[in-house]
Amino acid sequence: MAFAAFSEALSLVFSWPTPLWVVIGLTLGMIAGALPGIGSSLGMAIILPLTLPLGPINAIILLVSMYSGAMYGGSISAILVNVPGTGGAAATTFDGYPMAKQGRAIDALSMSATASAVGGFLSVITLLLISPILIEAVLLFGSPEYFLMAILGLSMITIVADGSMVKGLVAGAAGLLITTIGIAPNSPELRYTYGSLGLYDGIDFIAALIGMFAIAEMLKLAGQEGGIADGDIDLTGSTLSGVKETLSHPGTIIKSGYIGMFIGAIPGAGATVSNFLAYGESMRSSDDPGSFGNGNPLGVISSEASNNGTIGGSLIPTISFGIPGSGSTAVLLGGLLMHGLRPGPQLFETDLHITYAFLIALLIGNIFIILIGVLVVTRLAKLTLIDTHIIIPMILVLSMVGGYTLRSNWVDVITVLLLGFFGYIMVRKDYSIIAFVLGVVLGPIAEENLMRSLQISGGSYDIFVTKPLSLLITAAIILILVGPYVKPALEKRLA
Amino acid sequence: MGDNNDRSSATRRDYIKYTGAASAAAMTGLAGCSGGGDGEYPDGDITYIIPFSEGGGTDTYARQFISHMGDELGTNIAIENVPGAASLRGTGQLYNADPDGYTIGGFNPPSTPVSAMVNPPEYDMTKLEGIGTYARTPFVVVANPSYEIEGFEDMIDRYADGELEIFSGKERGGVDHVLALLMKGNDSYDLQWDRYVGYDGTGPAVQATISDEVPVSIATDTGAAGAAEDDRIDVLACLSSQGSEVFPDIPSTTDLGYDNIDFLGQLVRGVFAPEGTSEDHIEVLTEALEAALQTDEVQSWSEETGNVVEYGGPESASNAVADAFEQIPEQVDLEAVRDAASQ
Repeated sequence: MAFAAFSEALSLVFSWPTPLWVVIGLTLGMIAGALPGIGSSLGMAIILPLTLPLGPINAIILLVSMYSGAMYGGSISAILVNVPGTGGAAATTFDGYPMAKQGRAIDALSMSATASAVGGFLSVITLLLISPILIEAVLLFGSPEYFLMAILGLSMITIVADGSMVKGLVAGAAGLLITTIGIAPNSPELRYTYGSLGLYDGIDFIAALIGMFAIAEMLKLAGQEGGIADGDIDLTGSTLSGVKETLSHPGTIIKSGYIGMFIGAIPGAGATVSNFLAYGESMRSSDDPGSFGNGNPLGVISSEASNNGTIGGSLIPTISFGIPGSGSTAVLLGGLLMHGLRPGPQLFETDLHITYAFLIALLIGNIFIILIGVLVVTRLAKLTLIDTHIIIPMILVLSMVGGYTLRSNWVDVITVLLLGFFGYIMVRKDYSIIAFVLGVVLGPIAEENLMRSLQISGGSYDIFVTKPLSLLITAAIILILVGPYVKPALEKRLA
Repeated sequence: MGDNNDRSSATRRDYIKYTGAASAAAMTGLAGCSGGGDGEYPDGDITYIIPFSEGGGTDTYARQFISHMGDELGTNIAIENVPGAASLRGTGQLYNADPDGYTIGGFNPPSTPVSAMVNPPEYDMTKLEGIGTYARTPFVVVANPSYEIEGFEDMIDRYADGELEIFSGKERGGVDHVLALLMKGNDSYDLQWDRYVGYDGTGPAVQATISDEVPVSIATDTGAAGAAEDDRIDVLACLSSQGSEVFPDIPSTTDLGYDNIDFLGQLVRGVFAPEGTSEDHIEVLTEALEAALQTDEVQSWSEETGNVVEYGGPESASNAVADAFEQIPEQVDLEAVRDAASQ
């Protein structure tokens, strides 16, 4: 049955005008992704009602292509102006933007296109292969495992916070504290809302990211003459060298793509978490971790391979249980329902050809990402030569508008501004931005699942070690935390 | 007078189930009026506030019928998603909008009223004017099949025996949680669960039931449909006395002899206008809503997707809100809901 469905899906995807919808979706997604605050979910939501005349298959293909395009598109503004267009591209700024400053924007852009495409390709192929056992795999994960995964992410702070460990932990704790604003998870208790409905849902982490990266960097640039690229640097590098460099690190791409996929399958996590974890892992396993943050291509590659890798993962709970793990998959789910496709086992049985069709469309989409990314987008590198006096006001306006469009909530605009200043000071005083962001993003997931796990167990903490899977994650957390202390001691003894 | 206005054929009209028969009759009488004397309203775009994010159930429905409602009115209706504060923010924006007929919105009692009762906002939702209702989403109780629970009564017995302890549904402080507390405190139900576990939506609650993280959960009928079809969950009972279109064979708790809890047991998807919106405008909007629900597009979408469309008049919208505010505080200890954090 699977083979028949697969060949039917192939003929569906390659029949005109479906390929056109793939390209349109990708292009729209790239634009939405490159604009901070718009991102994939809002872009997809705007398009959603317009897909009605298309019929289910083309509509879903258009939507998933937008999702894929946006994941890559977020890197464009991340590299060129330090503004992550989506949360999934935040870690791309760490090395992508320094590369742009060094005049290597073309290299960085073609790397992000290549890494995005390969990472996305890998995760979707894997999804295709494991689709028969998908639902059983998802059922292995419950609240205790989600909590432990969030803690695993938080424990990465010890790796990514270079410099003072105390400052890294302080930054992470500050991020966690911010997430306590709003209605508490799993109880209707209000925390720090001061009677304002706008604060009930707390601080939006995308607004926080826009502030920490975009505004903070614009404040810094305001004191600099010329363009974003330092001094009189000319643009160097070629599109081809970027592609080659990326492909010469298959290990990083594969690892990051799968980190993305794995994290994507956890509801509530998504690309915003996975790009940091992939970046952190890339840094951890590097011989030269000090070069990260100063334009190390591996930073761009790992972040970008992971965010597109997330797509395959985030589709898992969406299509198997109708659980949207992120804003984008929520809209995609809305699209599925709107077109009469009910998520669940049906999508792997009678409607298997539809599932295959949009997965194949995603695969083809990745080829277009490389083509468009390398041939067209790299030309945008010239933006880095434009005088900052022109760039700064544009980015400021874009960031404010982006903040507002997130939830039509002024709190988000204030967040963008305040955290912008906060981020600027943090960078000046050498506090880790990554640690802070990990706290902001993972705090709610950790808290919600901790509370729920304890409700289930009746207050007993045994629930975190009684299943093999949870025990395994707990062991991984301990390993990450004590590894840096134990490893040198072990090496010494062996020597 | 109704001939050219009442464009729906008899067959199309048959699709619509009138929950408010009196209002429907009243509106048929009005059907010819909008094109005649009062040609003034609407003469500009209308905003439709949805207090939820894009892609959710309320949003999906709205994106189906709202454009048709606009066609009926001869204007554009722009959808504005104002999510947040358990739908209190968007509803507040609707409440504070000018009552000029150009801002309307939709929310689903008793869900939004429960949010308001648990964390009272600075406005009185009962003052909103009902325009109509377009759907009803009943809650059902679902169980993991490995427990081999033989119906709703058997489930109640097993909680009483202490064999089952955990009951679940959406977040604490939301409708599901209040429903669970109602059934626990109500003598007719006497559902003696020990711990309530809240999930971030019906989907996750159903998944947790399938994976046996929890044995039993409250779910919306549409949210449980996929898993039930695949026999991954057992559907024990419907909590609305009117039953479920998705599960026509499942008994309602009133069928089984328990108290009627319709004020909590089903979401009534309603459309509302700010307090003080003129009656004439409401009539025009009600009529447009009814006509929009009867269009071929909305009807065939409903048939194809299983998203039931049911029209109800202005008072079914207003009553759903009023009933929630009257009955819930009488029957549920709201302090206990607010204190849920400490349990």
